[in-house]
Amino acid sequence: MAFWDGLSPVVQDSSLLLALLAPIVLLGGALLRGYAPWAVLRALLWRSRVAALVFVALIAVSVGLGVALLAQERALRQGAARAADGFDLIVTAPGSEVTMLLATVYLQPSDVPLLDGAIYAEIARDPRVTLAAPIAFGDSYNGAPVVGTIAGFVDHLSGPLIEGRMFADHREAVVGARADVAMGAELEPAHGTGIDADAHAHSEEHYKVVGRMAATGSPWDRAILVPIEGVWEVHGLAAGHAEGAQDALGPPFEPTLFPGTPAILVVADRLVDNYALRAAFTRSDTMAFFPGAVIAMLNGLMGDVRQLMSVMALVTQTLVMAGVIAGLVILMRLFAGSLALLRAIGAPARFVFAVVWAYAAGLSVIGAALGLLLGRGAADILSRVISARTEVLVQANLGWPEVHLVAGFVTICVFVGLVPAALALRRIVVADLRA
Amino acid sequence: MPAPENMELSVKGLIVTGAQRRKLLDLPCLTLAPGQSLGISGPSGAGKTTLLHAVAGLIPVNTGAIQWGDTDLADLSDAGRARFRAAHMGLVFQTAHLFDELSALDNAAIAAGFAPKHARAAIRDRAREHLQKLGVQASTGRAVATFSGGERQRISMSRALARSPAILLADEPTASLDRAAAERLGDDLLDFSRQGGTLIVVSHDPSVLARMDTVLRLADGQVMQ
Repeated sequence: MAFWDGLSPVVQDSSLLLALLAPIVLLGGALLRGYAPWAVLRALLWRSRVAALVFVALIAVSVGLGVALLAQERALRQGAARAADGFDLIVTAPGSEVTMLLATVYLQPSDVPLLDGAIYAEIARDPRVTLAAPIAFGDSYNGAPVVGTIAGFVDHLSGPLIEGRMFADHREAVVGARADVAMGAELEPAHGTGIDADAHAHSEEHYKVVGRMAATGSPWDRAILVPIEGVWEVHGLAAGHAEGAQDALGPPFEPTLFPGTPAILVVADRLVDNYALRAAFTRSDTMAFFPGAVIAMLNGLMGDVRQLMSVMALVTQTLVMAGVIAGLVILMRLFAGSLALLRAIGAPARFVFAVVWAYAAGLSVIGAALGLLLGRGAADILSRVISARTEVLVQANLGWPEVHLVAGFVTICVFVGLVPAALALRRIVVADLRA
Repeated sequence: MPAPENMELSVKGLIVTGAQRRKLLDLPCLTLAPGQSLGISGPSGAGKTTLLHAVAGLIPVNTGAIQWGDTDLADLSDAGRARFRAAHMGLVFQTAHLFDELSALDNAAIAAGFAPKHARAAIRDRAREHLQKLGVQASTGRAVATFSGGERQRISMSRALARSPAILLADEPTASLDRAAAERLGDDLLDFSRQGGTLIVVSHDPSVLARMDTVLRLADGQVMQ
């Protein structure tokens, strides 16, 4: 066990794959050793080409679906986790961590209580905190969320801008990489989001797009980020700065003139500080949580669903395999005359057995290989659809788990292929010759 | 060219029964010297094919002995009888039982698939040689599905001869052929016998039977003459 644990993941996965496929090689070697059944196999495959294609298609579709679902599920988890990468620690008003996670990281609309200026100032002043970025969501433009924040958050989330510059005025905006807004465009925010958004609530107010962020693979790629002061002003609130400095941008804010923010992203240099900050701000008036931990918890809750999906994939493949084997048994009647001829002219029983087995095994292997390709394609399409709908970048790739699943399935198929081979030998040669 | 083997056939007290113990064949004695030809005739259900299958080792013998040279088929297992057929016998059936999807050569050399590796090339060479000798175009890769009945039987014959058997067993080989094709196949069978092979042919065809050294007439599983 210690030896196994000492191997690299690639070596472990490769070894498992070899272990799963080894029985096929050993069985095939034992059955086909010394024989050259290829001409007979070719003839039988061509004779039953329609049925063979149907069998291969059935296997490919069942394998492909199973593989695509598993790969997609994993990609979705990875994509969701990746989207939360920049969000080290979030502080909000007490409530549901999941709701706040969805609202803050995935920009899903939600009515949440606000944190006041005193709390923001307390967080921002903490020596362990390197960035305390207010995140004020609630407005939208053409369905894209308009989020008030500070320049430091934009830097933290995407790094250098790919176009333009950082906002330098309350009425300027930086947009996400995939936001459908051109540089220099002037946009009028709607109050609220979705179908309930009031497009004319802020009709006197406009933001000018001056920069574009690099892609993050998250819903923030479609967001429009504006100075939080702008959001407050648009709503007729104070701009967060003292008299005479109303045009200032970003922290420090005057706590008494800080209208509130639904969430604050907190970044600390050291991991231990993150944990200490979470403990410090988990109290009666604030809630602090690691988005990654909430996602992990959700993944844990979804674990059963994942297992269920795996079982369903296996059940589907097993049912298809059973159908294919039943079909092969029936198909063997079509081959009965040819197989009887082979036995009559002296072919050893093992040769005839090997021919039927190789036929079944060949269909299984080809079907499974096509299934892998099909699964890859299906996962790719599903990824695009999910990415487009959730704006979370989902990139499904076939991984070792899928390869192992298919290898295990093929091995089982190949062994079940012994059944029609054995049944073919039970037939009476002279009866089949006369038929 | 048949292998020079002492493959005298000696059948003694052969009884073959079918379903519900019905006696299909009762043959007290039959001998056939190497290089001789035997025709088996009789009405349908007389036991002709049963006798051919019995001497080919395709069906188990309930009672009696079927001896080819020093080998008693009754002493052999299924696998042993298959090995014996592979080594010494060629079989031709009423229908050619070809793989329609394969070429004439692939069909004639089908036994190469289960022959030892070192023997495969020789089987293929002999299959090609017999196809040419029997007038079948072997060079074409055309699948045999479109070949005429006579050509198909000659391919079947080439398949039987590709391993240079000492014994050739044919079951109604000319039944589905027209007169000219039947005559030609009859000639091919006799050629085998003339070259020293032991030939047993089940046939209704008087012209084929007339060319055999001996003819055994069966009725209801018994020898009539």
